[in-house]
Amino acid sequence: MRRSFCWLAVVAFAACAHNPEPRADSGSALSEGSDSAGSATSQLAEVTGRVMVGGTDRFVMVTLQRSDGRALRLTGKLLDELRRLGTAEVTARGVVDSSGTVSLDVREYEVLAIDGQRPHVGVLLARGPGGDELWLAGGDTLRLVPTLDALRESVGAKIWVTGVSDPAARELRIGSYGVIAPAR
Amino acid sequence: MTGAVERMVAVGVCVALAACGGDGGSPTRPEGVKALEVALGAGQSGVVGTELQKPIGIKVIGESGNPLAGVTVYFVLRGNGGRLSASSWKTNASGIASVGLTLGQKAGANVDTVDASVSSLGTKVSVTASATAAAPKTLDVISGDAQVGAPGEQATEPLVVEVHDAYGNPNGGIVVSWAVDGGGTLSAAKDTTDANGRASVMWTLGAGNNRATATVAELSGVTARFAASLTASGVVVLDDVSPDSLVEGGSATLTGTGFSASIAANKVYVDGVQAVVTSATESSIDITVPALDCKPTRGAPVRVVVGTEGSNAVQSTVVGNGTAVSIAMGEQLIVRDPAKFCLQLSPNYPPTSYLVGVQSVSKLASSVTPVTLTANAASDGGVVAMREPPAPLTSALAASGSALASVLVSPDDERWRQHRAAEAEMRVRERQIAAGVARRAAAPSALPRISGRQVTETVQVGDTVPINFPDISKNFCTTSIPITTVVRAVGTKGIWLEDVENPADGYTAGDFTILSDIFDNDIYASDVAYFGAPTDLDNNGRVVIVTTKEVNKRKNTLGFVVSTDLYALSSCPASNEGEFYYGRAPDPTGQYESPSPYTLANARKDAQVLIAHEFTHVIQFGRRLMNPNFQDFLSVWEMEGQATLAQEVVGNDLSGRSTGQNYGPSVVFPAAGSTDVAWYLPGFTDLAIYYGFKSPTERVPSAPEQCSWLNLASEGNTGPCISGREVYGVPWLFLRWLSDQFGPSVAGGEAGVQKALIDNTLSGYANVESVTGVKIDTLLAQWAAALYLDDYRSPLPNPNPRLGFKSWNLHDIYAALVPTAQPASYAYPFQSFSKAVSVRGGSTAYFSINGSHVWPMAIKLRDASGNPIAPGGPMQLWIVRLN
Repeated sequence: MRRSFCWLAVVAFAACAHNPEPRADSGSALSEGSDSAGSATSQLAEVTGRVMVGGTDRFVMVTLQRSDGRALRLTGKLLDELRRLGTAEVTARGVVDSSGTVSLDVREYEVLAIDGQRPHVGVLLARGPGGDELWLAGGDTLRLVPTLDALRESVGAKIWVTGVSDPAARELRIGSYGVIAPAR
Repeated sequence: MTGAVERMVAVGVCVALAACGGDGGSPTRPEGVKALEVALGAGQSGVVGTELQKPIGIKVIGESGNPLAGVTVYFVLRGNGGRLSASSWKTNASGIASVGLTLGQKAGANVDTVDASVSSLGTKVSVTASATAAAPKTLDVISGDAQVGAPGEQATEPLVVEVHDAYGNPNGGIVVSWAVDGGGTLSAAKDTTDANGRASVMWTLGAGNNRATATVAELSGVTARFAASLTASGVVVLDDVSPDSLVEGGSATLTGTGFSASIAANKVYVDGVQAVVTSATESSIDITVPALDCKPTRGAPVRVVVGTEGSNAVQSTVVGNGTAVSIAMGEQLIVRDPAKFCLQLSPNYPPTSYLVGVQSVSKLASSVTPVTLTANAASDGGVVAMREPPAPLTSALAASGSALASVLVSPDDERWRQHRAAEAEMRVRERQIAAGVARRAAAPSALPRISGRQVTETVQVGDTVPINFPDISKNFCTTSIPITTVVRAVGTKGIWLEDVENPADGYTAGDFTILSDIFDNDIYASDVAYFGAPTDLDNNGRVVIVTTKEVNKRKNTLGFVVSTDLYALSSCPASNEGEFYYGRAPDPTGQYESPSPYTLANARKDAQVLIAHEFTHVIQFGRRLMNPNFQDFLSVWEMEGQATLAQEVVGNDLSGRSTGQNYGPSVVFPAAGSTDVAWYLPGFTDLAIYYGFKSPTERVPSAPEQCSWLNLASEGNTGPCISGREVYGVPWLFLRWLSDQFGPSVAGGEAGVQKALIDNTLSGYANVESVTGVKIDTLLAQWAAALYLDDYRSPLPNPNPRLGFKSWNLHDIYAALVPTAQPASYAYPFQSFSKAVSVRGGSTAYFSINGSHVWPMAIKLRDASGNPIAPGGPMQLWIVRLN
């Protein structure tokens, strides 16, 4: 069985390290060199792919699966946000682990598509007289229409919203939405 | 009794005791009453029919000028239908007697008066209270309806509405929104009701249908309607409209006299909406029939206006735009294109039923899509109030339900619920560890090299074996708790180890032998037949099953598998380098916390189900990892759904059953007092929770549409049905349905479907599409309908076989449940209605439309703003004809 175990190890390696150079394909390295901790092999990288959440309910793993099918494990403080974005297409930027370049410590990310639609991402704010209006403060600050009562309880949360925007009116007509990070 | 009254009673008792207590001294003459004063509660105001916030208190002053205790004060309420909490009360130590006042039903200033008196004084004091109207309840048309005039003229009477509360009191300060539908203009779009609850606007008539409406935000679904008729001048006469049935967006020709040869000078209105005139002579006009937003086929007036001269109206049939629903009974129509989210239902005079699904096929459990389903009947007088949702699937279901309600909250079930909740907590630790595992596995210097098998195939019963128990409170890739175990059984497929420090009176030698036999002969064989053979990384040909008190120390955990055992020690120093399962030890005396006690009987009952479930994870992890094209693990709902499916197939094998037999409640629910293993019940409990079950008398609102099964709360599933079981039972029934439906067409039959899902390289929806060859949109629509319609009443004539389960008779199973555990729909008759719902990824809002279908009806799905849904979104609309 020693042979099987070695094979598993190779598979595990292949699964997690198929992409040792994040600059290939849809990923590109922003810069190379030492990270803040001074690791000689760490590099800043930008990788685009689909967030996948797999495993059992006690062993959930979050990976970024690139268009060629290869996966890169995601880590870092933003993992709790990314796990709520399973199947979304994102561009993640972060530090590739120095020891094997198999994981990406995500420092920032951009959501490119959710269910095939480009979302607006931001923090939900209550504004207007009596806080009656709901606004999404992100790349653009847009008023959400209609004002959904169900969203009021999420004021302060980081959310995504798809829909039809009217930049001139600074409005975003809600199609779908989801919470990425609850209000603190 | 209200809280205030209770407090008063309590106070009164204390006063009575104080009054009777005395000091035992000589009797003295009671002091006389000099005056009454209002001490509390004067000048209050409240909502009609409600109790005032403060009681009314009357202070009794004695001849000495001091308050008198123990004096009975009599209270009388004058007029207005209110009530007092008591007609008399004795004063307390402060000389005050208090009474609560529930206001009467009439609103106004000082409308409620309470007179207070004492028997020894000829005067009384009065306290008044004001009442304000309750929340708006009705919106009535006062005047302005059914007027007659010419286009461009102002109607002689204003349009007036009045807003009342439930008691008929006018509601002032309510904003009324006005709108016209079919021509004309109003003097204002909004107006606020005056003190009489009235609001009004003036209406300048148009050349069209001339209908106007008034609504208020406080009364959802209530609309006051006005209509006006036009006087025909006789100068312009419309003789005929061709064809007989006008098609929205199509062409039509009008013939008559008095038309203008100038296109621009003619205005043609169809159903009150101006049409485009494409050509005109003095006796003929060609038009394009205006296309409206999902109107039903209807009778509508056609009218011509030339200048200020209006013609007579010719009634025509206008065929609405949309997707014609022409399906046989038992068939389903699925609409995915938002541009076609308008269903046209033709009348069908006998009683008819449709089931409509508003479904999100989003892949994200965090995705919520707010939409509104609106039905527009050709003639019904307007929007009707929604019947109380949810309606039960059939009226006959509730009768036997209560007897089985307790099954859904049984101790067994609760133990499993806690177990799964605990698993979710463990997951947090696991994901922190996952990255570290990967790094070690990936680093070239850390390529795994097996360091030696801890449990070999040569072990014998009685051997002592050291084991690394993964410390799931820490990084269990690197951290373990060393335990000493003894081999209790060696089967053909499993090696059973028992922690030497387990509590006393645990599994007997006979138990281990029985469990080992069950695993070898049933569980292993069933799971492998359905999901494929497990890996054998430690080359012992067996799965190692460890029963240890260390699991008991983890609160509410029944057992688990960790994937880190599949890694070499060089990657995970805590690994046992093989296929391991850890189970909770019987703990009859409650030595450990988790929960205590854990009886031997319960342990025996749980063990089989747990092993069937967890062994599936061993298979899934190993087979995926060994796939040379491995990309990722199965999604969480696939993993847990399959493991729950394993419970079903193993349960079948152990009880002599088989799949595809349409089993009913007698199989699902163990008989009362039975010690049978509940193989199927946990999954159906999960389904009931998905449907909104909260208790035998209460259900979660907005279920199941706001409840997803695609992931857990920590992955964004923040719906209202969170139990920690989201990814178990409901995905099981999706996977069961897939096997039922696609088994015949997939190599390996229904088990082949599940094996293919594991051995594929994809996950989630893409995996299912790849294995079945069918788009996930279609699959989800069919499955959602099957959940509701399986074995619906007596079988539908020629039902679509996709709309059912072969293995389970869901209708009969639902019938054994309390109504709060059954699937529910928003039920409407064939009349206009509008209902806003928010649908979470993977879920469905069910609507049933039943009754005599006399009028054509159009059903549209729009976004939360009432606009057409943008293309590319996650929503789809489907409909099944039932009768």
